[in-house]
Amino acid sequence: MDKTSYWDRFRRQRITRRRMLAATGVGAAGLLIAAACDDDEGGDGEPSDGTSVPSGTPQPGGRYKWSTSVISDATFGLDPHLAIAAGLEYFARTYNVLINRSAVDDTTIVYDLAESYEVISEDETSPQTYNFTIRPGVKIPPNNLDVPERDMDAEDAVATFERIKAQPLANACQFVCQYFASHAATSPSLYTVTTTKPYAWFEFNIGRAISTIPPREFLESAKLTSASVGGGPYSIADGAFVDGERVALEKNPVYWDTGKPYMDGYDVIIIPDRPGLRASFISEQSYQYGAASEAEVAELIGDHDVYKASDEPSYTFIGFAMNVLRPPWDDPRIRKAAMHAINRQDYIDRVYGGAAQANGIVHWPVTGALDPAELEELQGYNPQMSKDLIREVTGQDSIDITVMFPTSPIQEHELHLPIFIDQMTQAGFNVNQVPLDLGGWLTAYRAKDYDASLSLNQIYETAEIPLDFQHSKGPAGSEIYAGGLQDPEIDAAIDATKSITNFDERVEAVKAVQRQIYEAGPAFLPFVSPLSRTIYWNYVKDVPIGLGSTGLFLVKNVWLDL
Amino acid sequence: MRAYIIRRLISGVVILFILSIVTFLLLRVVAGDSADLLCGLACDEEGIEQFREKLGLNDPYFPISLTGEPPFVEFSRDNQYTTWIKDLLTGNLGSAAINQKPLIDTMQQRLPVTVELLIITVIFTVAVGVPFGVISALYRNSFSDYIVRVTAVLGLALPSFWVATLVIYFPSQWWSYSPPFGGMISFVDDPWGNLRQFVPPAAVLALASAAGIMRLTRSSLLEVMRTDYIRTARSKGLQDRTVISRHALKNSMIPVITVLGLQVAGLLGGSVIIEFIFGLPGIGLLLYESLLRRDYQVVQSMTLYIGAAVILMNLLVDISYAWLDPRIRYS
Repeated sequence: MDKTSYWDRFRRQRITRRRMLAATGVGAAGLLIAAACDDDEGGDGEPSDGTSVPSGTPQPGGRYKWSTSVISDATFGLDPHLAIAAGLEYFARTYNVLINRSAVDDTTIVYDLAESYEVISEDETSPQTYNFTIRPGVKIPPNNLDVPERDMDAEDAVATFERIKAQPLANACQFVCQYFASHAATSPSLYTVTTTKPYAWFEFNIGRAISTIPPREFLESAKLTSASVGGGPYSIADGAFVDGERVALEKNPVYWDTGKPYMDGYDVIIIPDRPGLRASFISEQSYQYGAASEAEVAELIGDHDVYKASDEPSYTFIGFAMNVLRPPWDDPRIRKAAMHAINRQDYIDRVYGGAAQANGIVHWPVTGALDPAELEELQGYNPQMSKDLIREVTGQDSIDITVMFPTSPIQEHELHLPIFIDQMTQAGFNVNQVPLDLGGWLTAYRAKDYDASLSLNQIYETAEIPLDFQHSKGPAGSEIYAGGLQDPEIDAAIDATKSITNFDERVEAVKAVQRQIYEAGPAFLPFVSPLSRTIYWNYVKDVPIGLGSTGLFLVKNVWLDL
Repeated sequence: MRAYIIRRLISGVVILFILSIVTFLLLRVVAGDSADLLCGLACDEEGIEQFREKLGLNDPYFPISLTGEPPFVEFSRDNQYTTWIKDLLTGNLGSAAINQKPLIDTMQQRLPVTVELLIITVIFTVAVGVPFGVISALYRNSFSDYIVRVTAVLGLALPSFWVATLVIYFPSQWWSYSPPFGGMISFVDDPWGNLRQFVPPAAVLALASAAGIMRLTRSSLLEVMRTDYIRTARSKGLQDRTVISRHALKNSMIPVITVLGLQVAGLLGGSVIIEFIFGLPGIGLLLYESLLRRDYQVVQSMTLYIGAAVILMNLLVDISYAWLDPRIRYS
């Protein structure tokens, strides 16, 4: 058995962002990235870039078997800019990003299509210009998708971000449409972006799986939704993706990082039901399994010494949204009453068997989250205070509220609901429950046609969108889903955090705006964020752990000690 | 007989017409539609409207609709129901709203899974249900009869989703074994892999079916064995085996065939839960996915297909009565 915690493994190398950028200019940051990307053959076996444990000399070959219940986006399939769900896992494996800066550890950058970059800005408040130097030799492999075998260049980046800008439904449009003032391929090896204003999370957003860069010829292809080929470590051949059943990824034989990826390919199978996922793992039809609880981890590890477990934050949470445009939620005292009604420890114990952490407005472990002691002070469980606040507003011991929630089989939602109802009732809220199927719920939620609602699972790695839930324009920036607190002062404070490019200053600003929101009575309350409990067969080596979605861009380092 | 079949087919068409209206309306009663899900999370009202327009969801439901102003009735050529029915009548099942993939292609991909599951389930059901029902009837109130009856009650009482979960769970715990997942393994390519994939879910499905058939065979055979013509056959000196196989069993099979026919009709529509648990991409799983996605076109066409399957199976069962019992004549 090999079980270490996220925090044990996650080697922080904190340096300031300014120093990092300076270093980047002269290539010194390459040292860090070499650590991130190049735990080469013949090395000392030390894990790098958050990779799990010392594991010996990587051996090439073998195919990774992986079962998942997450199906691909039925509408957009494998379209890297429009699709969501399982597609995100494949985009990072088949295409490139310019760079990826981890939101979890600001000092970790994976350089991919760009081998370096520099940031030019007159001052902290002026628009910024990012110059990305394109790596030579990022080759497109032989394929049957009519994509020429050539080197990727700056024009591919231009084509990608132009497409995202032109597609309002593109997942990265909010970022690109809002923050790209101009962009151009100054030469085949230099891609330049000038922002509309300083943006704190630019390097994070430009490196997300939804901003991956396919070859420009392929962007026009009808096969974009059913196959993948680009400069990434793997590709998906025509016919290898069967919606809802399986996907096969094949190694890019001309991948720029010579010697990698180590494995010959991935065989992904879709299994909708959890017992099937578990059985497929035990029977070695899959090399990894996301356990439901700590108890299941203990049970599996205890039975089988051939497994190892890894815990890391999942950045996901379910929350409670209150519509301040409707009574009684327009009264901050009622919002605060709801805030003190929530006993997060109960969720941690009953839903996640202790393997989770209480969240504030910005959830754990996102940078800028308030520490537990302060959270306890600001939002601590106190049903008596809830009742007092309700009495203050209504003159009675209880208040009627209507709460909608989606009833579709959403992970862990059904476990949250009874706890939520129970806690609210104990704190003086008479909950009129409105269960809706996913489509009906989404319609009402999008139109803000609700008093209050339990949210879906949210996954965010930065403080930006959690704070936007309190903003008048809502999390999508277009006044859908949530109306925030309708407080111009808080809106301005939230907007200001997005422009602070200095890491330490930004963290402080994010904390300050949360305190301001607590003062006003939050309109959106995240509950708890669990640990992701993944179990691997022991022969799976160097899985990137502890870097959030950045790990997706380091799967080329995974190898099988078969 | 021909007139009877024609009459039944006509009544089948009427039933399908009613079914089409009911399904069409029920799907639209629930709030939200596929445009909501298609448009994605960042979509605003305008974007959703564009999708609705593209999918024809803004068209009137029926050719005639009531309005609040004179003349209070509006006629419309472009309406959702007529478009759907017209397409169906020309052999076009339509396309999934969610990805514009023709439903006929999806059905071709999914139907073999469901059909193979059905065939193996029926083989298990008949192979287990009928012989044990006969044994139970012939050795009435014996130890073997009690065993068969208790087993049958258990088979009926245990929910198939629970049995299926156990069938997945315990072999993996005890022997690190599970049926292969990840799409259908073709029998032609890998017969052993195919059987490993289909036998466990078929066995689970057959458990309840076989239990029902077992009890029905027993009671039906017991009833037939008490009839005069069986007594006559015995008094003629025929051997027990001949009496049972040539006279009793054939006549006792009428209710069994009826129930089996209905079971087959039900299975033609796929088994949502079993296909879900065993990850078999059949018709049942398609229906489940389409319901979650509010894919009207797929759900309503699939419902009609299942309705047609039930009507045809019922007709086949009724026709088979005449073959099984020469006294039955249709006019």
